[in-house]
Amino acid sequence: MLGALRRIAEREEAAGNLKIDSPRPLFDKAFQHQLKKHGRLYDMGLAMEYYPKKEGGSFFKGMMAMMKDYKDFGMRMFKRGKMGPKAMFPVKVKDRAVMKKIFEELGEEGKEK
Amino acid sequence: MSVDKLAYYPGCPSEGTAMEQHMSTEAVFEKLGVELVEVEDWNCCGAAEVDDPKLVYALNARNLAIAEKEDLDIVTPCSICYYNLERSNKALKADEALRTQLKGIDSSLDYNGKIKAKHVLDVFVNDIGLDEISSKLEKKVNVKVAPYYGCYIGRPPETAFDDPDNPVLMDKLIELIGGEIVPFNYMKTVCCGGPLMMTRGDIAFDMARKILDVAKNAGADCISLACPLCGMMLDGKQADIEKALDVTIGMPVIYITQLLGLALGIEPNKLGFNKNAVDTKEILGKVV
Repeated sequence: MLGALRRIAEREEAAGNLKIDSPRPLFDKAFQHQLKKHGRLYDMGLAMEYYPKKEGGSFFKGMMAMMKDYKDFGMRMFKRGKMGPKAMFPVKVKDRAVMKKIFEELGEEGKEK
Repeated sequence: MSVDKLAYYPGCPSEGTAMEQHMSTEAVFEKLGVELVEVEDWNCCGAAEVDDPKLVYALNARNLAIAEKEDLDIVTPCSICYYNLERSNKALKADEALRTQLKGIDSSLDYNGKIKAKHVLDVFVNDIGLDEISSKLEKKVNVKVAPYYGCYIGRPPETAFDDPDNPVLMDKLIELIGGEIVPFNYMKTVCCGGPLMMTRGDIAFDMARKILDVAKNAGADCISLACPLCGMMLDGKQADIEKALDVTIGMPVIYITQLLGLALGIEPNKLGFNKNAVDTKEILGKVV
């Protein structure tokens, strides 16, 4: 329901009829894009993709915003062994071809074909 | 006891922010004599961010199909993963055309609807049973607990396994292990704000603070929970909430599997007590 409303709002925005203020659609799309690529949630990849988009496409502003929100949290997780060097890289599903097929067939890009 | 082997779906946070939930889940099931077989090469369930139901069904069909091949029911410690697994399971069991469509996308999505999807709380209380668990307890966890259930245990009705307004399964486990429940009923199922953490942190912080404040004012030694997103919000981000809102809270937040593990006599480090963000030493001191 909310997803359908979002897609309607995005179409209306593209037609110049309204402006979406919420960054939520950017977040959800970045999340799904990460799943399509890796098959599992990759926190660092999600943040690196989402924050620059949220900041109007500026990578620098995005990284500054990410640091503001997550610097202390990241350090806390690092100290407890939850976010080490391994977390810089995604844990990927071996069968990534099926993830690609699922999203191409049923994801938004599939629906827009 | 009616269960001795289950397929285990850890969920994405098990590898990072909810490591302690994953560790304690594995340790507790081992102690209870239930073998967990991790779903091989599992993929994300879609969490709360994949909004299209059919896409969620496809993602979960693959995980369900892998468990089905092993002829095992599937269990997860994550409330959101449970919701996605079980709603997909229900949809796929009821709709042959959907199963056929997904199988057409890839043969690995060929799920025949022969297994059950379960949340760990449901398995502990309703499958293993309180009497069986009681017979294996070694210690008393003498703590005052605010049991926090979050959004997905008692609702929506299609997947719920506890009361939507006043869920009680975690309460039963806490009382069984010697804990005391503090007055917390009206906060049990209020959203923690977790889904808004990256998009509207200001709102998320206010939502989480209310839960933490009520637990503190009720005299709780800790909050117990069963969802890694709630854990990240209430525990992992608690220091950020304190800083942003200029408050002092200091409320330990502990997964129910960690508390149960203490009562079963499992070493705290095996339960990931060194992973919780808010210090848990006082809690460990109350295990006798």
